[in-house]
Amino acid sequence: MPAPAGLRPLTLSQYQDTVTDLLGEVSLPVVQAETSSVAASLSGFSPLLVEQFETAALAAAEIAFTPERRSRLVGCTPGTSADDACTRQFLASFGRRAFRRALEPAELDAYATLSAGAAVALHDAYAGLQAAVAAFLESPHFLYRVELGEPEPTSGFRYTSREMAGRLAYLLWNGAPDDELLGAGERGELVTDAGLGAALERALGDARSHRGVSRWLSDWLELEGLSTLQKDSVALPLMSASLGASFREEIALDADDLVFTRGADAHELFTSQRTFVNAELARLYGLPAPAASGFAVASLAADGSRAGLLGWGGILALHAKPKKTFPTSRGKFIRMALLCQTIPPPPPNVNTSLDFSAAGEVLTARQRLERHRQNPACAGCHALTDPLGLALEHFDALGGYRADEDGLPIDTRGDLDGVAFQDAQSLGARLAERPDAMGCLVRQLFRFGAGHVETAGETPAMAALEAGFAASGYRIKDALRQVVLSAAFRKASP
Amino acid sequence: MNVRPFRLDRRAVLRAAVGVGAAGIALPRLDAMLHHHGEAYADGSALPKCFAIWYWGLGNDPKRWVPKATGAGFELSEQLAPLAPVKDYLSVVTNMRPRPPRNDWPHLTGQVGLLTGDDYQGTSFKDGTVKRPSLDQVIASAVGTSTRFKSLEIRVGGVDPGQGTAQDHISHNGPNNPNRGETDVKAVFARLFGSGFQAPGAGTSAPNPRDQVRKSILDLVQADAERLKPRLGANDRARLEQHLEGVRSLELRLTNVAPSAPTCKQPLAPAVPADMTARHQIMSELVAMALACDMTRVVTYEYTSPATHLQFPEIGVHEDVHEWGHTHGVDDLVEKSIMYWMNAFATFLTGLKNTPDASGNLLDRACVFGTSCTGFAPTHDFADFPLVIVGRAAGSLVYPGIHFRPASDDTASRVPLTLLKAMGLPATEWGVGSLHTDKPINELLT
Repeated sequence: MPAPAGLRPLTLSQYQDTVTDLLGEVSLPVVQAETSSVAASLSGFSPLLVEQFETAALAAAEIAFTPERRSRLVGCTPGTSADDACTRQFLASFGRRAFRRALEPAELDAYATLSAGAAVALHDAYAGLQAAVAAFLESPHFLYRVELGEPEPTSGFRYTSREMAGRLAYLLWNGAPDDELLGAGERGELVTDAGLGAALERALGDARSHRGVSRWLSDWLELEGLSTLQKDSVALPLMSASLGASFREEIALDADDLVFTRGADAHELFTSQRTFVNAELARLYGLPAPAASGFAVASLAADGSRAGLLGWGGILALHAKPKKTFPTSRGKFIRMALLCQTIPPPPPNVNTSLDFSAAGEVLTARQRLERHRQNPACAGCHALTDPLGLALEHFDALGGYRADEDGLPIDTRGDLDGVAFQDAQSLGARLAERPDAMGCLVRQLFRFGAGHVETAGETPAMAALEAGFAASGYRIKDALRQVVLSAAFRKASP
Repeated sequence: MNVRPFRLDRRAVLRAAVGVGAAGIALPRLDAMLHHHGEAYADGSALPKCFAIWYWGLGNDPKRWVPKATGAGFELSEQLAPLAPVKDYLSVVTNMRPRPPRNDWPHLTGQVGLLTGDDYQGTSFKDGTVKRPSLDQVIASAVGTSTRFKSLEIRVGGVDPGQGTAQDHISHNGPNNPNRGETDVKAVFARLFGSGFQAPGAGTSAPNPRDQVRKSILDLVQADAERLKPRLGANDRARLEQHLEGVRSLELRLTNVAPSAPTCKQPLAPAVPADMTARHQIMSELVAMALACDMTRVVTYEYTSPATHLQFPEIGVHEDVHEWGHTHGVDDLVEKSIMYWMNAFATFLTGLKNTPDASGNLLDRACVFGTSCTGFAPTHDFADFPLVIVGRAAGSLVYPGIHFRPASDDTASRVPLTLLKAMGLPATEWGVGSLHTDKPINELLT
C-alpha cells in the first residue's frame, strides 16, 4: 500500500533553489521553513512563516525587476493593460514554471488583472509584472507541491504525469521542473516507463543534479546544524566562524566526486581516504595546506584512522558537545542515520549522570560509559550505541585528531553486532560490509524524494530498491534511477 | 521617526463619532479618548488584558525554590529573590506537577502536557510534535483578533535544528506547526516598529499604493487557496486553512490603523547585541512597548528552549549547563545559572512594571506565566514544577500575590485553567486524560 497523495510544503532549500531557478540568484531574507524533506511534509505554515514568505516574495520580485535584470527575465516589453500580449505571455510562462503546471485560463486572467491593476496604480508596466511574480511566489500552488494523484486506467492510484515532473525535479535537482520536463509531463509521458526513463536520463545529465545530490546529503546527514555550529573556542582553538561552512563544502565536494566525477561504488562513503580540504580543514586533519586558496583533493594518511564519512569533521563535530566528544550521540547517529535502526530515548526518571569517579580519579569516556551500562535500564540501548561511538574517540569535539584523552590512553576497539573492529577506519570497513548499510542508503534517498519514512506497506518496494542497488554495483546514480522508477515513488493512495 | 507630542479634544472625537451615527467607523484608540481616570476607554470598555508566557529550560532546585510560608506576605525563597521588585504582583504555586500519560522524553512531555493539555506526540523518526494548540494560542484566538499581531513569539537563547517541533518551540498552532520564536532583535524591531508602525496621533494617512498592491496580492493568494481547497483531503484542508489564517492576518494589518495607546511610542532602533544578556534586555524592551502600544495581547517569550543546551559565558558558565547538570548534579555552576535565569525573568517583569500605562503600569493589566520544562532537571523530576504568575490581569488576579501550596501533590493543569479564567475566557476545564482538570485555583482569582 503506497503512502497517501496530498500537499507537500517545500523545504527551505527547495524553496530557495526553486526561487533561484525561476528568477536567478537573489538574496532572500530569513524564511524559517522546515529543512528536512520528511519534516516538511508533515508541517504547516505558522502566521510568522506566512509573513516571511510574503516578505521574501516581495524582496525577490523587487530584485528580479531591477532595470538591469527585468528585460531578460520578461523577454518582451510589457504594457499596462490586462490583455497586453507581452504581459499574458510572460505570466503564462512564468506561472507554468512557478506552479509546475500550465495555468488555467481563469488563473491567467486573475494574474493579468492583478498585474494590470498594479501597473496602473504604480504607473509602471514592469511593476505590474513584479507584483504578479510576488503573488506567484506567495501562492499555495507554489509553496506546496500539489500532488493529489489520479486513478490508474485499470486499477490502482498514481501520481499524474504532470505531478511526476515535479517529483522528478525535486528529487534530482531539488528545484523546479524546467520547460522540457513540464512538456513531457503535459504530454502524458511521465506515467510511462519509457517516457519517465528518458526524462530521468536527461535530468541526471543536467548540472542541477549535482545540487540535488548535495541537498540530499544535507537532509540525510542533518548538515543544516553546521550552519549554527557552537563550539568552545578556548578548548578547541581551531574552531572558527567559517568552519561549519568548510565542513559542508568538503562533504559536498566528496559527494560530487564520488557520484558524478568518478561514478564510484557507494561503499567508498565508508572507506575512502580521498577527500577535499581547504587550509583550515588541512590544519584540522593534520594535512599540508593546499597550494592554492580554496579546496583541493587530498589523501588521508593510509595508516591513520580517518576514513570515509565517519572521518568527516562535520559529522564528528555535529555529534559532539561544545567541548567534549559524545560517543553515545555518535553511536546513535551510526545506528539511526547509517543503518536506519531505531534507538529509543532514555527511560524516564533515570539518572543520566556520568560522574562516577571517586575523588581524584580521572576516567575516560569509555570508563564512564561502562559504569553507566551497569544500570540494566540503560544497558540495552547504550550497548548498541556506545561501542560504535567510542571507536571515534581519537577525534575530538571538532573532528581533529587527538592522541590521548586528557593524558589517558584511548581504546577504540569494539564490535559491531559481534564483528570486531580496531578503530574508526576498521569500523567504517565493517559498516561497508553490512548489507543493511547499503540498504539504508537507498532508503534515505527514498525518504528524501518521497518525503516520508517508508511505511510497513512499502517494505516490498524497499526490498526491491535494495536489490536493484546491489545489482547495479552500488552506484548512487543507479540508486536515483531505482527510486524514480520504483512503484513506491510513482504510485499513491488517494 | 520622532514622537510628536499630541493632544486631542476628547469631545471633538466623540462629536465626530456621534456625527457618523450608527454606521460607525473604526477609530484608533488614541490616548485622548481614554476615560479621564485612565482606567477604561471613554466608552467605558475595559483596558485590554494581555498575556505572556515567560519560559526557560531546566527548571529549578526545589530546595531553594519553594518559599517557606504560604498565603499573602510570604517571603521570597533564594531562587525567587530576584523577583523582589515585582513582589506585590507575584504569585507562586508549588507542590504541583504536570501529569503526562507517559514520560519518555522528560524535557518535552512535561511542558507539552502543561502548555497544550495533551500528550507529546512522538512515534517515529523526526516527527516529535504536539497534538493541540498551546495555551498562548488558545488565549490569542480569544483576545488577539483585533490587534496587529495575534501573538508575538520571541526567543533569546539557543538554536537546535532538526529535532521535531516540540524540542525547540513552545508556542504551537497545532501538530507540526510551531510559532518559531524570533531571535533577531533587528527583525523584531522592523516587524513591530518599522514601516508598518504608526505613531500615536499620526492619524490616518492616505493609502499607500504599494500597500494597495500588497492587498491585491493577498486577495489573489486567498482566491488561489479557495480554489484548491475542495480538491484536498481533510488534513490538507485544515493545513491550508491554517495557512490562510496567516494570510488574512497580514491583510488585516494592512487595512487596520495601528491602534495607539497613551504611552505608546516608537523605540530607537536597537544595535546588534553583544551577548545574550544584551539581547534579552532589548527584546524585553521591545515586548513591553509592543504591549503598551496594544500591537498584540499575547506574547510567548522563550528565554531558552526546553532542555537548554547552552553556555552562559557572561556569568562564567563555559559548559553546556544541561550536560553539566547530568554529569555533576546541581552544583555552583548550575545554581549560578538558575539565578541568572531568574534575574533575566526579573528584567522582563520590571520592564513591564516600568512601562506606564493608562491603568498604572503594564503589570496591572498583564498576566505573565513563568514556567519551564522540569522541576529538578538533573533527574528530570517534576515535583515543585516552576509555576509563577505575575500581574493583576486588570483586577482578575489576586493582589498582592500569594504563595499557594496545596496540602498534597496536585496536577499543574490547574494553573492553565486558572489563567484562562483570569484572561476572561469561559473555560471550565483544561487538558485531556491524565492531564485533565476542572479545578481552577480560586485562591488566585478575585
